[in-house]
Amino acid sequence: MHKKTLLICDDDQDILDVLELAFKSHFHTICEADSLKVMDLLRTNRPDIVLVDLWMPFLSGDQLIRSIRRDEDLKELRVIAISASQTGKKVALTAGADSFIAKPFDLDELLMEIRSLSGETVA
Amino acid sequence: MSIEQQQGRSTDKLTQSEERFRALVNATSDVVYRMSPDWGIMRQLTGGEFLSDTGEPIDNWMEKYIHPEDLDKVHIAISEAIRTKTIFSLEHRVQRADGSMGWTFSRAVPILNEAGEIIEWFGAANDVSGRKQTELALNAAKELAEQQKRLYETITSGTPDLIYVFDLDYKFTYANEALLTMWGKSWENAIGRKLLENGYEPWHAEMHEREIDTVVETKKPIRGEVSFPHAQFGRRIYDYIFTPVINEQGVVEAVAGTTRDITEIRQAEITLAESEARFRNMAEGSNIYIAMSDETGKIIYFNQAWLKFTGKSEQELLNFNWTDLLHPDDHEKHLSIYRDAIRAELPFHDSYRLRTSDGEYRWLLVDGSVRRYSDGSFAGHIGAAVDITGLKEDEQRKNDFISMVSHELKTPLTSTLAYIQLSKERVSASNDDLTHTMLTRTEKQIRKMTGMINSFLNLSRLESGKIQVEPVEFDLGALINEIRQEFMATISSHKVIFHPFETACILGDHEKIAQVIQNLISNATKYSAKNTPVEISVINRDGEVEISVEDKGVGIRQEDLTRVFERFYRVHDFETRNISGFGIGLYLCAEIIKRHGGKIWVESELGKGSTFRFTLPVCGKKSS
Repeated sequence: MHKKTLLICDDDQDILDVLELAFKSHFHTICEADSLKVMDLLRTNRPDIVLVDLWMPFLSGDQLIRSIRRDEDLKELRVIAISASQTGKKVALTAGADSFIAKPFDLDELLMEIRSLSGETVA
Repeated sequence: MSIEQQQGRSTDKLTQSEERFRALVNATSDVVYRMSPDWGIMRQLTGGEFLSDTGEPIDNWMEKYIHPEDLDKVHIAISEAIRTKTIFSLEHRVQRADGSMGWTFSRAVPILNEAGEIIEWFGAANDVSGRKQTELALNAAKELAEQQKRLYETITSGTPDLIYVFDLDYKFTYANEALLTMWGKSWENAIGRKLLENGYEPWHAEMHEREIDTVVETKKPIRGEVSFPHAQFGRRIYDYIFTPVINEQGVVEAVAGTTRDITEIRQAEITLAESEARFRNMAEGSNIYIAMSDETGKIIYFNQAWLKFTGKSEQELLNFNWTDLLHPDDHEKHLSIYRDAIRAELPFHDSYRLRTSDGEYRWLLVDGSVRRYSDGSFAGHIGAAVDITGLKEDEQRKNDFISMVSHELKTPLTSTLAYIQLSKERVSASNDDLTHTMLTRTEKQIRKMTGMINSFLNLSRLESGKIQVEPVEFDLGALINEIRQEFMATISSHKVIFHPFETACILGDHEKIAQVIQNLISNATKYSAKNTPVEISVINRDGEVEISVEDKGVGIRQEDLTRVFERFYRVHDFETRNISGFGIGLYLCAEIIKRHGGKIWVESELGKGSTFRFTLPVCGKKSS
C-alpha cells in the first residue's frame, strides 16, 4: 500500500526523533525543527498531513497554521497541532488547525488521530 | 307748760333727733338696721339697692343676709361686742338683693338705758364689694408675682450660669447664687456695687461698662467671650450676653446679663481640633489613598495621595464621579461590593484598577472600615487603598514563569513518554514481561508527574485570571457516566460506588466540572484504606444539584474543615504525611465551583471518613 506523507515540525529534536521512530513504519515522514522552512517543504513535498508544535521560536505554530490557511495551494491541508501549553487547544483551533493533541501525548492516540484525519483507513 | 307737755316735747325732740340721725345715717350709708340686744332678732333693715329690706322683725336674718362661710366670723364679732358693750365692726360677705355675693363693712352701736343695759343695736353698713374685689385681685396679682419671683429665684439660684442685672450706673442690682459664690461674696456686700468694687480687674470692668453703654444706646443685646481667673478654679473662659431691659416708655432702664462658663466646651473643641489636625496630617502625609464617605456612599474627603493620583483638586474630586476612573472590567464588580457594604453597614475589601492622571491603570487594594456617629449609627466608610501594581506585576511574572517552567518540563516528558511507549511495543514482541512491567510503571510515573505539572499550570492560570469557565448546557448523567467508566477501568483498590440518580441539565464548563469530580474521587482513594467504599451520589432538588463524594478514610479535624480549600494548605499529621500532593487540588475545585455560582464544603469525622459536597445550578437558573 502507498504510504501517506506526514510532515512533522517541532523545535525539540528529541520529539522529532521519537515521532519519526514511531511513525516511519506507517508514513513517509519528513521532520523539520525550523518552522521557517516548513512552508517551502510543504510546497515541494505536498504531504497528506502535518503535525505542528505550537510553541516554537521565530515562527510559532499558530502563525504557521495561519500561513497554511492563507495559501491558495495549501489551505486544504490537514493540520494537527500539538502543544504542552494548556491554552494550546484554543490557540490552535482559532488559528485553523483541524485537531489538537496535548503534550505529553499517548502515541497510539496520536497515531489514531493522524490516520483518521489523513483519510487512511485503519488496517 | 305741763310736765306732760314738757315730756311730750322732749319725746318729740328725741324723735326728731333720732329721725335726723337716721336721715344722716341713711344719707351716708347704704344700709341701716336695728337689732335686738342679743342680736337674736333683726328688728328692721333698710337695704337700699344693696340688700333686700326687712320691715317686720325676723329671727332668721343670718340665713337671709350673711354668707355661710362668714357665719362664725360674724358670731364671734357679735359675742365680743355684746360682752364689751362696744361697737360691732366687721367686714364680711353678704347675700345681695340680686342674690349675688357682695362685701359689706358693717358697724353697729349699742343703745344703753340708764341702767347701762343694751336695749337695742343700731347699725349702718356700706357696700364695699367694689373695693374688696379690687383688693382681692390685687392680692391675687401680688401672690402671682410672688410666685413668679420664687420661681425665678429658684431658677437663677439653681443654675451654674451667672445671672445679674446692672442699673445704668453700672451697679449690680441683682446677682444670682452662682455669681455670689463665684465672687465669694454675700448679697449685702455685692449688690449696689460696681464691677471694680466686686473684684473685677480694671480692664475687665471698663470693658463691661462700655458694653453696658452700647446696650443702653442701641437697645440691642451684646454677646462676648472673656477669660479671667476664677477664685478657685484658675483661668476660665466665659461666654456672656448683656440684654437691655426696656420700660414702657421704650427706654432702657437696666441691663440684664447671663454668663456661661465654657472652659470645658472650649477645651473639648481645642482637643478635638488638635486630634483632627493630627489625623489629617497623618492622612495627608500618607502614601496610602485615604477617603471618607457618608452614610449614602458619597465621598466627602480625599487625602493628598488621591489628589496626586488623579491630578485633580479636592473640590474637583468631590464633584467628580470617581468611579468613572475604574477600569471597565472592574467597574461593576467594585460598585456591587461597595453598595452591598453600605446596605449591610459592613466593612469591605476589594482590589481594582484605577486610571491615573496619566491615563495609566494602577492596581489598588482597598479596605473599607465602618465609620460610626457618636450614637453608634452608621456614618459611612473610611477607605484606605494601597497601590499593589508592583505586587500584581510580580505575581504576573511569577505566573508566567510557572507557565513557562511547566511547559518546559512537559517537553522532555513528552519524548520520554513516547520513547517508553515505543520500547513497550518492542518488548511486547520479544515476550520480555519483566521489562514490559518496568516500562509500564515508568509510564505511570511519567503520567503522575504530568498530572502534577498540570495542577501547577491550572493554578497559575487561575490566578492570572486566565481560567475562564465556559458554560454550556450539558447532561450531568452523561458526565458522571464518563467518569464512572474511567474510574471503573483504572481503580481497583477501592469499591467505587456510583449511586443511581435522576439526571439534570447543567449550565457549566463540562471539562472543569469533570476535573472537580475526578479530583474529589482521587482524593477519597488517596486518604482511605484499600477496599473501603467511595460513594458518589447526586441529589437533584429545586434549582440545583448536590454532588457528594463520601469515603470511610482518615477524616479531617474540625479546625481543618474550612482550611482544606485554601491554597497550598495541607493537613499535617502522622497518617497523611506520606501522601503526596501540593495542596492545590481542593483549592482548584473550590475556585471552579465558585465560578459556577455553586458552593463546596466538607463534612467529616476524624477516623470515620469525609464527605465532600458541592452544588451547581441547573439550567434556567442564573449562574455567576
